[in-house]
Amino acid sequence: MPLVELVTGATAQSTISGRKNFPKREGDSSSIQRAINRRLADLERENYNDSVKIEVPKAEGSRSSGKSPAVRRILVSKKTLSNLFDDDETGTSEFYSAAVERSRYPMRHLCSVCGYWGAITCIRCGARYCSLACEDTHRETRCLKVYA
Amino acid sequence: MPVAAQPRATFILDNGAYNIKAGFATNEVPSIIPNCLARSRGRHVYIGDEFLTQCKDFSGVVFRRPFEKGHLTNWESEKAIWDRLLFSKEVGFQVEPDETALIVTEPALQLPVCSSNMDQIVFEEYGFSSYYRCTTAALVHENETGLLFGASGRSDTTLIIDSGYSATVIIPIIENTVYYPAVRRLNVGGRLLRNFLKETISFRHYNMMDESWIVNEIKDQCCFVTTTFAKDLETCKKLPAARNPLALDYVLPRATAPGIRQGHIRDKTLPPDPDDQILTLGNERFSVPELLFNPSDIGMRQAGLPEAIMQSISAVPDADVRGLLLGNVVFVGGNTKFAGFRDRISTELRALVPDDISLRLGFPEDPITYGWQGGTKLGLDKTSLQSRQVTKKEYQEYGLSICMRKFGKKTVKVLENNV
Repeated sequence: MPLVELVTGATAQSTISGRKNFPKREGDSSSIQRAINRRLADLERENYNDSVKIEVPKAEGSRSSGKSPAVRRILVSKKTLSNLFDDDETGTSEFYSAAVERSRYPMRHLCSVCGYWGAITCIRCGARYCSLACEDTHRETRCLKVYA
Repeated sequence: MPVAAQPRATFILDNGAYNIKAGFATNEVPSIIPNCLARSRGRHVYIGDEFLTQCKDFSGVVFRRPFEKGHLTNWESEKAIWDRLLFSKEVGFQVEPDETALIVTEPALQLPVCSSNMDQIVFEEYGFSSYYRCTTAALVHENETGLLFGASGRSDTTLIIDSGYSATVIIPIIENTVYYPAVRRLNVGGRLLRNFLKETISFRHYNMMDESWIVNEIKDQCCFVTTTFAKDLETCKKLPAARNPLALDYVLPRATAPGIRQGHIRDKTLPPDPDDQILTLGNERFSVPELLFNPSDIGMRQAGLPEAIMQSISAVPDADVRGLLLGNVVFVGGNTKFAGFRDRISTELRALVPDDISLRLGFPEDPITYGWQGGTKLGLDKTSLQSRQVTKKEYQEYGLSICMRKFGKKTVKVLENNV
């Protein structure tokens, strides 16, 4: 009986003291998730510099275009995909309902610096790294830059 | 002059987000033309194939694509590219639309308004005599797919995985119709892989964030799919680059006196050229295509391709049809060309499919032109094409509604009755 009490007493003591001293993550989970989403959106870009505008060159002797008003409207339309999604709710929901769902298996974590297994999580920003060397690189470069 | 001229030619246009594969039904092979406008560092804008034939310096090139995330949204640029493709002397087709039947592909889950816009452009702007719009998968299905499995003939039911530039789409075709409730889209495509490689190289080696084209070449030449990810990761970690069998030296392209020297893998048996700029690639070679199998490696909340295929299959209600689909799986699209893709997908898929189902995976010799090849089979089958297409006269009489009715999403009656 007293042995059990001793054990539980000791565990409770160390847990409480551990929790008090453990430093908290500096970014909260929603801003970290926003940073992840922003990075994924960046990975879907066509050009690094998003504001690049390439004008269609006017071809000499080009065939007459815009033969009907409907076609002229399509050709001058500057609507982007997000405009088109806003216009068509059913189409958008059909499109998103066909997306592949999450995996049933747990995700694996890779070092954000060198690509090896990322066993250690950065206390401040939640990124993964594998070793002290990669921790140094991470602290110098990407840590907390994500939501600066 | 006959009232309704019989089309003298059938033109097949596989309109991909990255490349257009186009040609007459009677051609042996299609012409492959970049579906983009490209602006070089010198501010010259190239349309379509002009980029490959005329541009000398691929460094710092930026692109504008008519496709956005897999939907054809920008017709101003697409028309410029199509005009060059169809009418220019350099490309050589010199199509006469009012005497040509057109077969065009569109993405499987495209917004309806984008499809309608294409219908209007085809008939009101170009004036083709007849037109059939379908997914690339529908054209892949027209091939003699039995040949891929060491047999002959074709099946009414095929499962097609099209892993292209925008995304990887899984399309079950049941009784010759696309079964839309089970179509699934995995947001990992050539563009994501290229951008991930760009980001990784820029962080670890040289800043190449402006070098989309060059990084794409590096991806095509150096990346592969591994069947032993954990072991390869250990090898790259433990061994220094000189002794690592997986490490590669890539020589970046540079201007030389005669012209631009193309980027290539360094031949380690030759002495190194001091003027060459070397990029050493290690685990990037296989971590990048690994995203097709584990998108969660970069935090994407989607399952990998083998699981995604099973998600699509489980959305098909009939067990016999599921078996038929898994017995006729065809892989097309540029991403299936990675070395090691075949072995990896076979192993992982076999592990997920029940033992009693015979799994047959087909890999065409050219996964990029296989859809177009199917288009030629359909183009030469006059009766079949005539039953599916819309003629200019029908469009003038009924308008867009006939296109939506004939090309739209029909459900498969067999499954409806059995459910």
